[in-house]
Amino acid sequence: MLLVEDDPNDVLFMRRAWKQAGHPAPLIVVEDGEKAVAYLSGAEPYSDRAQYPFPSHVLLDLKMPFLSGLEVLEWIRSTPEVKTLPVTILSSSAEPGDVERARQLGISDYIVKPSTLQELLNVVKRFSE
Amino acid sequence: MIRQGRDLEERTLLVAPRGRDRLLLADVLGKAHYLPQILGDLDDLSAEIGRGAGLLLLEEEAITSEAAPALFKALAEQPAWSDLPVVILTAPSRPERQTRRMVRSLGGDANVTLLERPIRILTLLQTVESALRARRRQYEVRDFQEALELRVAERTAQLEATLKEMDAFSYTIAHDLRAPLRHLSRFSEVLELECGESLSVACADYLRRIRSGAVRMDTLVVDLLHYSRLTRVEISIRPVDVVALVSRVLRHMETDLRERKAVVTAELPPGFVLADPVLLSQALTNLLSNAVKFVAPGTAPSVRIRKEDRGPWTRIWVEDNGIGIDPRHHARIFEVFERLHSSKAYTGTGIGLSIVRRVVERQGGRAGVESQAGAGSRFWIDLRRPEPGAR
Repeated sequence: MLLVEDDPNDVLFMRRAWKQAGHPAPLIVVEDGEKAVAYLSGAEPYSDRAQYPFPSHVLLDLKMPFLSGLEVLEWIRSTPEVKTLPVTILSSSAEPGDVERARQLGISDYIVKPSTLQELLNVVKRFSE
Repeated sequence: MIRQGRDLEERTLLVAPRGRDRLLLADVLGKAHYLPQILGDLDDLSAEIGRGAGLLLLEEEAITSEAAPALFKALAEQPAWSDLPVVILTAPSRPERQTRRMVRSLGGDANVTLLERPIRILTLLQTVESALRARRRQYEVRDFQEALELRVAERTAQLEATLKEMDAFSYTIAHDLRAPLRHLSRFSEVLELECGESLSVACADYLRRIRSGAVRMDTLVVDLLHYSRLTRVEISIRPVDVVALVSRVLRHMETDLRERKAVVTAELPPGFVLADPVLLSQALTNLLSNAVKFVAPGTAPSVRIRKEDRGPWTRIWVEDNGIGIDPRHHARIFEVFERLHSSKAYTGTGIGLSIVRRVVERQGGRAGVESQAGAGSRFWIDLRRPEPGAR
């Protein structure tokens, strides 16, 4: 799982929930959209796939510096090598415009970041299904 | 629009087939500073009108039945503000019906003045002066209209920009304001989970209060955003089947109603109202959830939905057996974030009824309440009925 998230607190909670959910797959984190694109395309410093494995799913925050989540999603859907990668949006808000745009581009789910740990855990547990 | 020079706009266009008259007219007008532009025939004239004209001065002889359509077309194509004066010097001793036919050939809307020949110079000059003065007024109207349109366009652009800013602002609130709240609430949760046992009872209570404060503020932000979105969202008013809409709303609320052991009866004869289905569903949902929420402890909620026609309105009633509302609070409860009860007794942010009123008013309707403390509440929504046969 590749988590693209710029908020260190959200990253901390996600790591905690990920561990608690007991997923065997590692949770890899990059903190902005540009790094996400670099990671997915195997550019430096992420070229070593042994250390930086290609993810089977991307968890994408929307509002991030440099490249927004929607821009990353646009890039994914228009790049042949990563085009079919499942993406779940994890955002602070469900702005109708954002939701619609994300759905047009193709996403597995659009999740509004839960405010309690239990809800977050429930969200994370769903990823193993 | 490209503005023609004043010279072009105020010029007199002259068509006078008879050479002697042409020279005479040009001379007289020139001496009076109305120097005319002389054109050979109506085709040339019609082509010239588009560049600007204050007045057309024509001899009747020029307006033959073959030549008239070109001028007719040029006059008909004038913009709305323009009513170009056409002064025609009639042919002497021509029968009146023939002249009438000539005038008619220029179109019903042509602004035609007839001057009999032979004509006195003073009559001609006064007529020209009067026509040009009227023409200048038309230009003033045009300029004023254009300035107004420009200003409207500017204001509209400003408003749109403001709305866009508001949208961005709401988004920022949603995102930036909620993120720290989320962290506040989650960190206090972690503290509770991981250090709960080493905390004193009082400290554990403080922690819980921090958390519930954060959760509550988050709910307020979300509600406020929801409210502002509903008041701005584009709506489409159309005839809506009340019976079908109410049953849809009840279906959506099924779980909530069942959990509260609520009994809802709908007594609705078939009928349509003019509404936006999404907004009306929202209003009814809010009224119904209030109706089943504000009941005395231990009372099973019982709600009745009725409707009745009142003049041009259809009134939808939502009546409950709840705790009721003292009439002195009736105005307040529709305000944003107004609450009559502690959040301990009844949860909520106090936004539900303000949403009801706001969305009902956006649909051209009105909303209100009849209630006494302790005697249940009867909330109503008035909406217009479609014209018969409008469906």
